[in-house]
Amino acid sequence: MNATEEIKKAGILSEEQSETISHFEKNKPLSIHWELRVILYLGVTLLSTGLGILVYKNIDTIGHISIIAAIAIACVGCFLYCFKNRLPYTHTEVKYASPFFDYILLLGCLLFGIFVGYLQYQYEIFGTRYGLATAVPTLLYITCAYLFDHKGVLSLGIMGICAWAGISVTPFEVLDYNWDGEELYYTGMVLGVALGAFAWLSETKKIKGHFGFTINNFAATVFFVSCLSALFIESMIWFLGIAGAVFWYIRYARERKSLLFLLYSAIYGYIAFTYVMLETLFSNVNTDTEITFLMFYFMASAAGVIIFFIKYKKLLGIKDDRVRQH
Amino acid sequence: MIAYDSTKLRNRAVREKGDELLKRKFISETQRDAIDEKFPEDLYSPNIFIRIGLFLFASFAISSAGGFFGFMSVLLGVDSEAYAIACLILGAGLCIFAVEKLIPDRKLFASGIEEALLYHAWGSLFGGLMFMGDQIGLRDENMFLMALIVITPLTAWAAVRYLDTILSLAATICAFIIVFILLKKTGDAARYIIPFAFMMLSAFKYLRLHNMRLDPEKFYWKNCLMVTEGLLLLIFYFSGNYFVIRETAVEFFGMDPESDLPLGWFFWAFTFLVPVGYIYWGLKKKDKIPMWAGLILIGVTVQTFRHYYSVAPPEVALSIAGVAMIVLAWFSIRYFKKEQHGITYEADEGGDDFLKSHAEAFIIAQTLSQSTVIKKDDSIGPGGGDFGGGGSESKY
Repeated sequence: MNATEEIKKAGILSEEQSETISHFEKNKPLSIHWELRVILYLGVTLLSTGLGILVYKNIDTIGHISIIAAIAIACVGCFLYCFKNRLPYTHTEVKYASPFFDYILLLGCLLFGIFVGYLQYQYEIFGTRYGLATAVPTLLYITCAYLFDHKGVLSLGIMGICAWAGISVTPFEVLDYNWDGEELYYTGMVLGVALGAFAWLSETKKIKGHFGFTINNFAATVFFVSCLSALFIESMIWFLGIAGAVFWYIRYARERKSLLFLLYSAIYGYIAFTYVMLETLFSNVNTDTEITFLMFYFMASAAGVIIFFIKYKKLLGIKDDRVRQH
Repeated sequence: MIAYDSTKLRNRAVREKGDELLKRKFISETQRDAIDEKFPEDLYSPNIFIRIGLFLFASFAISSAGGFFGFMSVLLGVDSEAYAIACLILGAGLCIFAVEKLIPDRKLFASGIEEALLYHAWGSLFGGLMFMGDQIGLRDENMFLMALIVITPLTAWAAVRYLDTILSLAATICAFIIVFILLKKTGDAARYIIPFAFMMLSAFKYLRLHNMRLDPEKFYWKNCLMVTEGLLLLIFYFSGNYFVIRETAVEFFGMDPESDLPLGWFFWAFTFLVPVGYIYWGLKKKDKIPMWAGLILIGVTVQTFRHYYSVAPPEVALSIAGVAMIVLAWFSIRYFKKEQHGITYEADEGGDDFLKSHAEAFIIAQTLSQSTVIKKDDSIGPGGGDFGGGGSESKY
């Protein structure tokens, strides 16, 4: 079955259109755009990793000053290129034609990070103020992200903020989250809310609104994980926090047609809800009847979530499916 | 043969084509709407995230149900192995029955729910078969072999019927494992036969599947075929990769680790030439699958080489590789800026750029942030310790 043929057979296309489309489909070039970007990205990663290890291993031979100088020069070089070729700032999305621009910016930022980290590690230039040591590169990342409209650097910047606040957040590490120090999860919650608020501001005021998705990704993960920890370790009251975030992100998913956040809400909300159930209704499960009820709960609740997913469109009042959903 | 309504699937594909043509500005919106009207479909095919969610929760529900049933059985005092085996196999049957009912009833297509049911059925059946093998007295390899021999044709049947890519992969892998085990039984000569048997099998299967994919009547299985083709290309490579051959020889056939591999030169040549061949073939036939396979396998080949001959310490190798890739990418981008030989650097507007650009940002954050996050100890953060900023020096 050839879809284009079917459309033609249905008589929807004009002669001209039919011809143009046939010609296009026969002669359409193969696009290796993303393949080359991947190779470029891998190249940057491998090079920076290799250089990093090389430097680390040969510190004594090469000498600190020369290394620092080299990194600094390369870093400045990258930024010179970027400033020279940059497009003017606008509140909307700015796209650069050449992918090299993006990667040189990335390389420059990484080099700066290595530079600062090196100074700190070798010369303790910030003393024991580790917060400051993290803040300096982070400020650069955020500035660059906005100046040059680069979502990758923005992500690095947000992670810097999180690191600064004492939490190391990568979505993969959520799985082996360290319950390390009580204040961490309060910090996390505040951070999550702050990021979420900032994302909301960006999107409503339309100042680099397209950053909203990236920012919210972090905001949601940080907030949910911190709040869950507080729920598990501190007290039940944090269930309200989770509930609040769930409502917020379901509303967000509905408005922005961003179903990823619906998924986040469902998963984290379900974990929190089940935990509360286990701690209250099912706290003392001994007899066989009680175990039976517990298992019923699992089946029924899972079924409930499934029904929610299936009916979400009706529940959230999403009508137009045409819009590209994410 | 297919569990889904084929007319609806066709209509779905036509509608997607309509959307694509609109995106490329070949047709007007009115025309696209006309297409939608002429080719109606009402399948429930949710967004990828919903699909993941449904899959997770459906799996959870099925597991809970299974657990519940098991628990009840134990409560009622049932103790025999035969019962357990029967339950596992019947459980699989139940899942299939559920899929068969749900697909037409709820008009499902790639919804996460069928996948959950199918994979659970597979697991349950495989477990039951292995258990049964154990009970009958088969040991280790034979038990495994028996289970595989039974389940592979069923997996293939299911892959075809439900258009499922994972099951297609599973069927292929199981088939090759069966071939491996059977050939191994022929004794010592096996180790010479196996590489070539695998090569011939994978090549033959690849060509057959590739031709199937070109047949427009078989468009339903496009994704399954694409994915399986990729797997077969990988299998072909690995059936001649020097490292694999050598290590299998040592592991399974008791070859002396110190000695040279017979026909070693052939396998080295194979290891180097195949990835390059794939890339060239991919570019020539404008097919991304061999291209990607080739790219990935070049990395594998380099690693294979470095395993036996250390040419440079890892950090140097990494840096050189990094530079090489950047240079390659740079020249390629410049060369292909304007279309050459039917290949271009320009992005295909028909594609979905949103997810890709966000995926890129995400991957950057994942892989590169390690170098910027300075390792914390207890003294970081508002929670305690010295903290520099805004001139404040007070301890928290």
